[in-house]
Parts: sequence; C-alpha cells; structure tokens
Amino acid sequence: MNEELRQSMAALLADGDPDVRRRAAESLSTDGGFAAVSALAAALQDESKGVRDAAARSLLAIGGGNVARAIVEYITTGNITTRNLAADLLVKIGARGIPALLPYLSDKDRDVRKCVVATFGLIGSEEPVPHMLPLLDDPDDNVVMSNVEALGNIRSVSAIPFLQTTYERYQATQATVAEALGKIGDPQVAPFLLARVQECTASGGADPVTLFALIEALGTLGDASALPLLSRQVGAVKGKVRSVLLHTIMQISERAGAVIPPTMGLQEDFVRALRDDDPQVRLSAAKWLAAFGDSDCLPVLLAALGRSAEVDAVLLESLGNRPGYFPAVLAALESVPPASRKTVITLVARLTMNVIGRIMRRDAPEFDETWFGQAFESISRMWETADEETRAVIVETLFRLDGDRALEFLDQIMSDPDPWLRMHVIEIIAAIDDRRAPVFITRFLADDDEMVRELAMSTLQSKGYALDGSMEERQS
Amino acid sequence: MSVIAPILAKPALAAAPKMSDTTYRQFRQFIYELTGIYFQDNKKYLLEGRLAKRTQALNLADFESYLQLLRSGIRRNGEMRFFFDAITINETFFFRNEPQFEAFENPLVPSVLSTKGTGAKRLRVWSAASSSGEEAHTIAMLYLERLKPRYPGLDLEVVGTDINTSVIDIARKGVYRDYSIRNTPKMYLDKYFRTEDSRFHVKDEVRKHVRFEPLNLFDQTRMRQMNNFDIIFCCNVLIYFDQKSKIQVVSNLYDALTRGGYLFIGYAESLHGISTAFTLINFPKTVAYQKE
Amino acid sequence: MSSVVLVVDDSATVRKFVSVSLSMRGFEVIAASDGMDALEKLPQRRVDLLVTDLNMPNMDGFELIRALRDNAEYRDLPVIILTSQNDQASRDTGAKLGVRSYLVKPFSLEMIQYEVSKYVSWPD
Repeated sequence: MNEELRQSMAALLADGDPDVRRRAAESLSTDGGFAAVSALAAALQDESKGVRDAAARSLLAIGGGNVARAIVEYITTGNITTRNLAADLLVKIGARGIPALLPYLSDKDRDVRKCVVATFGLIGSEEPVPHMLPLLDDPDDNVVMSNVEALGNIRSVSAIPFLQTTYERYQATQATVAEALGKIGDPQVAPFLLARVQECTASGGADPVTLFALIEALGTLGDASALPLLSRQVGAVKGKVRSVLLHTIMQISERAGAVIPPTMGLQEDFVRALRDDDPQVRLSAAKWLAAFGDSDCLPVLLAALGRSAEVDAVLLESLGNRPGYFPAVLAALESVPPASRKTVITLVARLTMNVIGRIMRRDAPEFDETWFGQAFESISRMWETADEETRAVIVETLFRLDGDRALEFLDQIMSDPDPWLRMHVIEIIAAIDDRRAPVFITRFLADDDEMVRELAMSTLQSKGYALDGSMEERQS
Repeated sequence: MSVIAPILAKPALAAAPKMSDTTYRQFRQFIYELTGIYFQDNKKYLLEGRLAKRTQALNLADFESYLQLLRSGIRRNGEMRFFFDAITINETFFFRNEPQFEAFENPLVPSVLSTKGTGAKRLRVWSAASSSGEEAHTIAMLYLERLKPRYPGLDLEVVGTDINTSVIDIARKGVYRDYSIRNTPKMYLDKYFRTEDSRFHVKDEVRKHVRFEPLNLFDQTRMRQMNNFDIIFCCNVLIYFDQKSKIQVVSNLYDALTRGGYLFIGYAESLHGISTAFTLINFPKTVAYQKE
Repeated sequence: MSSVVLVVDDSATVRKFVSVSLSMRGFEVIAASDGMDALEKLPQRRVDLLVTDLNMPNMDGFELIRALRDNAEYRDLPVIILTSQNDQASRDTGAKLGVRSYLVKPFSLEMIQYEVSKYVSWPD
C-alpha cells in the first residue's frame, strides 16, 4: 500500500478535524482495496454528516460486491441513521450486492427481513425472486406487504400465481397485491382482477383502497370485455375511486380503439379528475374533456395548461381545432394562472391559424374581425411582465394575428436602451417564419451597441440573407 | 378583411444553416466536460443561434470548425470567454428572493456570528453565479441598512462570481436599468442608488463591499481556492447541471463554507439526492442548508 | 378550504394508499419520499398535519420531527407516526418529541382516517 493511501486512511479514521476526515474520505474514492473499503465503511458512522456524505459517495464510486459485503451488516444495527444509510447505499450499488444480502432474508429480526425485500424491490433484478417467494408466508404482515410491493417493483412474472394466492389468503394484503399485479403488467391476470372487482362491488362493504387498486391495475391490463362491468360501476363509486375508474375506462377504450360516448353526465367527474394528483389520470381527463367537453369546462382546461407537456399537447391539438372558442379563450387569458399563460397564448396562435385556414376555405361564418384586434391588444400588454420564453411566444403570436402591427410593436420595444433586450428580440425574430423578419433585423446593423450589431449581422448571414434583407442565392 | 391580407402574403423562408445532431451532441459533451452545464435535446435551437454569431465573427465555415478551434486551436484561450458568454443565460434582478434575504438578516447572520464567537470582525458572503451583480449588491445593501447598525464592528465582504465575463463587467460598473430594479423597495432605491439619465448607479458605499471575479463552478482547481465563506448564495444555476455535476458543485460549496455556515439555493430547487452533508433549516417560505 | 396533509414515506405504495384513504374524506394530500424531501416541500405549501414513516433514506422520521420541533414555524404542527417499527424505544422517542399518535403498520383505511380526524376536522 502506498504512503499517500495509508495517510488518507489514518486521517479518515483518526483526525480530529471533520474537514480533514472528509477530504480523506473523498480521496479514497478510487481505491477498491479491502483496507480502504473498510475504513470508508467505518466512516459511515462518523459523527459528522459531511464525512458520512463523502464516505457514502466514495463507496458508491467504488461499488461492487466487496463494498456490499463490507456494509451489509449495518442493516442490523440499532442506529437508525446508519441502518438507513447502509440500506440506501445497497440499493444504489445494485445487483452486485444481492449475494451479500441474501443470507439476511432469514434474519430473526423482522425489520431486517423487511429491509432486505424492500432493497431487492428497488434494485429490480429478478435474481433474488425465488428466495423471496417463501416470505409471502412470513409470520410478520409488514414483511409480507413489503415483499409483495417488492415483487411488483421487480415486475416478476414468475411471482404471479403466488401473489394471487396471497390475495386470497390475506385480506390485509389485497390492495398491495392488486397494485403489484398491475405493475407486473401481464394481461392474463385481467380476468382475476375483474372477478375481484365483481366480488368487491357485489358485497357492498368492500375496502375502497382495494377497489381503487384493482381498478387502477385493470387500466394497464384490461381489455374491452371489462368495459361493461366497469361502466356500470361509475355511479356506485365516488371521489378518487371514480376518477381512477374513468381513467381506467379511457385507457382500455384507447387500447381497444373504442370511444367513450359523451353521455352519462361525466363532464363534472372529468373536471374533478383534471385536478387529481396522478398525472396519468389528469391526462385522460384532459383527453376526454378536450374532445367532448362543452364551453363550461373551458376555464378549467385553460388553467390546466402549462404544467405538463403531455396534457398541453392534447389540449392544444383539440382546443386549437375549435375556432368557436376564440373569444372565450381570449376572455380567459387575463385570469389564467401565470404558469398557464404562455401556453394559452400559444393556443391563441393555433386558433388564429385555424381561423385563417377556415376563412381561406370559406368555412368560417362565425369569424368576427374584431377578434384578432382584441387579441393583439391583450397579448401585447403582457409583454412587460413576461419572462423570456413567454416573450418569444408573444412575438410569434402577434405576428400571426397582424404582421404589420407586430412590426410597429417591435419598433417600440427596440427603442429600449437595454442592449440585452434588443439582442433577445433579434433572436426571437430570427425564428419567425415571415419575410419581413430579416428586413426588420437589418436596422440593427447600425445599432449603437457592438454586440447588437454583431448579432444582427450573424443572424442575417446564418439565415442566408444579404445585408439589405433580400434573399441571397446560396451556393450548395 | 384587411387584417388577413398581409398574413396571407408571406412566403416561406429559405432554411438557415443548421447544426447537425451529431455536432450538437459533440458540443453538448464539450460544454458538459468544461462547465457541468447540460444542454437538453430541445435546446439545440438556442445553441445554434448563439454560436452562429461567434462562427461568423471568426470567419469560420461551419460549426464543426468552431468546435475544432475550441478544442485545440491556437486562438482557443482568447475565444473561451466569448464562448462562455454565448452559452449562459443571465436573468436576474435586485431583491429577487425576499424570504432568503429576510432569513439572512435574521437569524442566519446572528447565528453565524455567534458560532464565530465575540470579536468576529468580518462576514464573508459568496454570490455564486452572480450574473450582472444584482444579488451581490442587494446583500451589501441589506448589510448597510439592517446589520451594520446592530453590529457596528462588523465588516462585510461579498464576492460575486460568474462564468460569463460580460456580466462580470456589467456588475463591476454597477449601473442598472428599469428591469433590474423593478422589485426594489423605494427606500433602498432612494438611499443606495444614484439616478442619472434613467440609469441607476449603485453608490460607492455599497460597491466597496463587493468584488466580482470570473469563475467556472466546475473548475475544481479554482473552486478549491474558494474558502471560509460564512454564507453562500447559489440560486438558479444548479438547474443547468445534470445530477453528477450538481453533486460535484455542491460538494465544493460545502467545502467552501465555514463551520456553521449556510448555503441558499433557488426557490423550488432541491438538494435531494445531491447531498446529505447539510442540515436543513426551515424559514418562512424558504430553506437554508447548514454545514454543522 | 380542505385541510392539507403531508405524507412522508419512502414506499410509493404507502404514499398512494394513504393518499387515497385521506382524499376520500376530502383532505388534500401532498407526498414526500423522506424527511429531506418533506422539509424542502414545506415552504411551498401550508400544511395542517404530518404523517410520517420512521425508516427512510436521506433523513429519517425522527430527524424530521426534531427539525420541525426546533423551528418556531412548525413547532406546533401535529404529527402522526405511521411505521412498522413497534419497539418500546421508538415509541418512547416519539413520545419525547411530543408525538401523540403512533400507528403501527399495516394500517387500515378506518384507522388512518380516525387518527387524522383527531387533529384536523373533516371538511364539510
């Protein structure tokens, strides 16, 4: 062992200054030798958080079975901090740590057994599954539940029959088993789940959490044959269970190529589901409402914009195709939450394109000339307080609404003394699909500020324009 | 229908020269290795736009040549500062995060002073990613207004650093526009700024407590030279790093703090999964991370 | 306005099921995966009650509760411990930290709803 290494280890174990110990721990991150690993493992119990943090990072950098073996016994210690630190590290070390953990599956302490199965679940490898299955009959309920959850996390198909037996044997585990089966994702389990839903709803006194879990699992596994039963349950369940039921029906329908008819007075339920904490439930609700909702739900839909790319894509696509919404969207613009504003402005741009398209096809009897003018005014007023990304969207939308007026608006902005602002606007305009854009940029070739002039020039050149704004022939 | 005609009359434009996906990935890797900043897939347009200017300025034929120059060209060293300027984003203003400044005034500074013991003469604060200097100057103003009266023997040193040298130049001048002071309480505006030609000049009594230096947070050698700071503000910059770089930067920030010192990061940012070295302290509407 | 419950547990399944149980009673539930995550989320929302596990990575339940008790802002926040640890030492530690509800897993819907209702009222 070299001298430097010996010194680091000595410092790590014995120096009184925690900063010195921390640096020593960091310096050992490349040494996988037994002595270094032992020293780092011992440092997991250091009194200083900074030292423990550095020791954990170094052990993780070294990784592998040796490290796992060096720290695994810490999962049995009475010190909760050390126990949790070791368990967390073992998850991160991954599959190479599995052999070190296996013997602890039969530890007499149920908290240790629970920790091991949970760790296996997070590691995700199928390797320990045969050793985990017997613990579905563990004397301790918490070990069983953690085990079920872990088998679900591993997505272990071989565990399916055992999980079904567990469902039937131990009532307390039912919700967890249902969830696990849903995660494993084998469609052959669907009839089992559906039969359980039937049992639950027939008996009347079913545990709502179990029903929730069964229905949610069916969302990923079920086929069209499940729809009749599920649809009948809509009126019988409430709140979050109803939201997940609707989401499940949407998912199955999409897979089966069917469409849920816009009847059954579901709009209110879908509006509630739009605020669910599960983003997938929100997406399903957005899809249905965008397709079938009436104008009453428009404010809620607009307020949901700007939070998730998936929901935005769905809503922009379908709302953008309903030009009759133009005035309502505009009216709502002032009052949507700031997080939604940028996306609602994008929606206005889409609607504008849609309306123009219809006018060209002479298919827009309801179009009112004042719409675009009002939209222009509202949106241009938002420039002052908008952030960088929103400003880009504002300029693009203003161009769609009225190109000439947009140029006037930009003229005013470009008289701002801040060169950063002028450069930012040049960048935005460079991306606009309009032949007047390069002409506008040419004005800044004579700007006061050197950075602005350079940007104007390089922008024109990179877009293939001559310095008078006309298009150059590009030599290919 | 006069509104419609101009819109309908626009033709499609010729496509601007684009950066290939391969070149983008190479730039991304290069930037990441140098600075820890990670450019997502959907930011390619941003890099294209910003680097086009440099490519033109150097009379290079394409982006690939520019990358080549950055990697190994003779002009590399001189170009680096322009390159860093081109790839960084600089939005900031005075009194940006009030809950942090309130916690700073009380109880953070008193806590730090009590750890250091009586006779503590100087407080050192680091504004990492200081951009055009608004945050650093805000700290100095708060000190003059609220702390110095309570601790007359206490001096303040604020160091503001940023990878982008143009903003360092702006920060050193201490002259700002409307946009930067839009959140500043009137009392501070009147007392600590001088207005001239609709520009706001930070007064010398404030500026003398602050200095600015270029610094790349990912540069280990330079980061190791940053030591003995009582409070560090590192706001709204960690978001540009990926997991691995965040871990390295935050570990360096920990090492730069004195015992009992505090780190602030941006609102809605998190050190979860990045570091367990700090003790988390809650304040109204904000959180600080303390080195024990 | 509905009461807000913060549920802290490193098991995603537990977070989900507690959330379903409580939202059925009209509570709004936000979730965190461990003590550190919980403390980082607290400044962003008003929270009326905390339900926390004990064994979690990054920051365990006792460390979380201690941090809250040391803080004027959160000192009086009611806390329910929900854990599989059923030893006397843990119960004592909880009691010393002023925690009056110590629930042992596995939990039932009724059990969690009942305990929560001792601290925060049902929404109408």
